[in-house]
Amino acid sequence: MTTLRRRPLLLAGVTVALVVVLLLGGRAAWRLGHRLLGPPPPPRQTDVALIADWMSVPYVGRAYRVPEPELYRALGVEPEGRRVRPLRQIARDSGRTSDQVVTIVRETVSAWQESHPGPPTPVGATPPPLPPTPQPKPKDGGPDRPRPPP
Amino acid sequence: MSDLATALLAWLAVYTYPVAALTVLVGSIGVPLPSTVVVLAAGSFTTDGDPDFRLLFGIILAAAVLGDVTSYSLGRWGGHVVIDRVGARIGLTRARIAAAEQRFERWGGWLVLVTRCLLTGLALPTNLAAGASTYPLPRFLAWAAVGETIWTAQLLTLGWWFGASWVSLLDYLDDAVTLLTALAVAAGLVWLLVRLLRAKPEPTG
Repeated sequence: MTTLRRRPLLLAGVTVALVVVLLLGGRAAWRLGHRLLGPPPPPRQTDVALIADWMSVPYVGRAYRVPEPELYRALGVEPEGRRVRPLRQIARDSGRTSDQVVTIVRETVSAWQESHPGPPTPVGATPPPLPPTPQPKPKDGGPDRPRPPP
Repeated sequence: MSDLATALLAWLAVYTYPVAALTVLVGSIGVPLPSTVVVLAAGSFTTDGDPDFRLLFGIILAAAVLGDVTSYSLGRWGGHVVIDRVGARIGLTRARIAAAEQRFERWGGWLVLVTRCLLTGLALPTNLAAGASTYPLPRFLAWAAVGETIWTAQLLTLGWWFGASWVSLLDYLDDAVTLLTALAVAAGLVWLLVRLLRAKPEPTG
């Protein structure tokens, strides 16, 4: 096969791929624009409304600073064999709906937060310091060498 | 949230360090795992100091760089096999391969850097291409380490900052990465289109 014979096919293929990629990119740009027009997600939110049925008990415990035994006790189940199960599976296993189990977990977390108020989140707090960033070592004079900003 | 991400997050809550490291390592080799989700969630767990932010950062960074080197090695080993077997049939002549290697030699470092921290969807093809070309491993390693440092630091810090509400960031990140990747791929396709339109029709086989 020659390039001459193959070129129309290649051109068509690349054009179709370009259209598909532009459509995907345009869709992402449109959605991102709409999101950015709305209010930004609040940091360090401990609103229990975010608790969902895909979360496991240890996940909720870590994310909302509630001891796992409190949650298992409220759900009326033993932790053995359930530590990596999502709430929806715990609901299924115990003959309840996901909504019922999520509601119990939310109420337990809310009660725990009220009885154990943590220190307020410092506004403008900085994360722990990171180790120094390694620098690339391209060969001397090579075009890869990062240039300092003007 | 997909079933896979749900399962990984459940395990992450119990075994944070190994699950974060393994997910990033295997994801870097090319298995489609939600590494971004796992690193963000791991970062959100560090808000009270357990797990330790710096230790987690070091472990994830090491796993990411190790995964990059593994996929680079796969490209180096498998790239030549593929080119030898089917290269001629798909128009990969020696001259074209040499030209591509020259371009990679010139711009590969920046490409490796950008595909670590911005165009993450193109990281694996870049690793394979770097391995298949003559791009030297020490330079690849250096650029990959810088890129992965930025990627790990930005995601862990976002997770740490947003805490339990990190989930609300996912849609933003998904759209931003899709948009950037689509722009990069579109630029490449436009370049290819221009070359195809300008090329003189010559027999190759």
